[in-house]
Amino acid sequence: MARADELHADPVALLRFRADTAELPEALDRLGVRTLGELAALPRAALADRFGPSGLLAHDLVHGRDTPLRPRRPGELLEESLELEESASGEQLGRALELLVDRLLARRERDGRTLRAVVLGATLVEGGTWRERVVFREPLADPARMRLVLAQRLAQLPAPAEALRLAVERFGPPHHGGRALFDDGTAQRRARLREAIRQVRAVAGPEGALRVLAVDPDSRVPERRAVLAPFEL
Amino acid sequence: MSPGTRRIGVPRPADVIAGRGGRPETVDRHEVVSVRESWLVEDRWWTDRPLRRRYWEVVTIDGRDLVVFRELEDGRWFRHR
Repeated sequence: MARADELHADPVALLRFRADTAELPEALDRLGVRTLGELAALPRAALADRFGPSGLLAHDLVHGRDTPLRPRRPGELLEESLELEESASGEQLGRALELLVDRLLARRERDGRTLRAVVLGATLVEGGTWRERVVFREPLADPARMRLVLAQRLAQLPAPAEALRLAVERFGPPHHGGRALFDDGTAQRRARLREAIRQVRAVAGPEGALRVLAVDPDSRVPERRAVLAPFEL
Repeated sequence: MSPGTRRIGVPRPADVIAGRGGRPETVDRHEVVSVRESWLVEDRWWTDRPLRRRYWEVVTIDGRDLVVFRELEDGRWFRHR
């Protein structure tokens, strides 16, 4: 990577390599700005005034300031497979599919995400393989619904299988039910309950919201067992 | 007791006519047709304000199930429900 001052003699035409600044070289050339060094010498405010965000970006670039690199996420391979003890078809395949779906959904790498597309594959007893790509109508994390969709595809299997595979091709957004373990909306519910109590008290007075508090529930004297106390959160 | 807090099931005075053995025969002018249970509660006997109650769970002629008691210290009658 070249240092910013090493680029000062280079032409402003280099800005064409960047989509956000591709329009600038022509205008800069008309203004007599031909090198990156000349561009770097211009006041930042003047570039912003004349070219807007692309002018600011060009100014940053010629001073060696670039937007952070965004690493490409490596493709994730999440796959479960099952060797079938004997050439399976019909109900046996259904049970195998059930197991595969459960195992795939239980994988820790799924991290609460839904599945948008999966690939169902089989190794056939007679030789050869079979493969079906299944895109769900909506992202799923519900094993019953997934099985329902996949079982229809599995019914198209041309011959008995000796192995079955299920792989995630694309993930969907996090599943609301899965997220509930960590973010169950408790704070939101408490705030709503607090507001409801406030409204009840505004209408019915301070005793509008009380709770029964067990003080000595096993007491032989009934009036000692519980009290009514203001409902507080 | 903290402000805004009040007891539940505080007994209220009852008009009870008792027969032999202290058995209630009427409660607030309702005839008692059966006694379901009777028990004695003694507490705080080690203090200046001992608690001694003879409880009766009774059913009145109009079908109500009531719990009444007699304060054995002063003879007054109360009911819980």
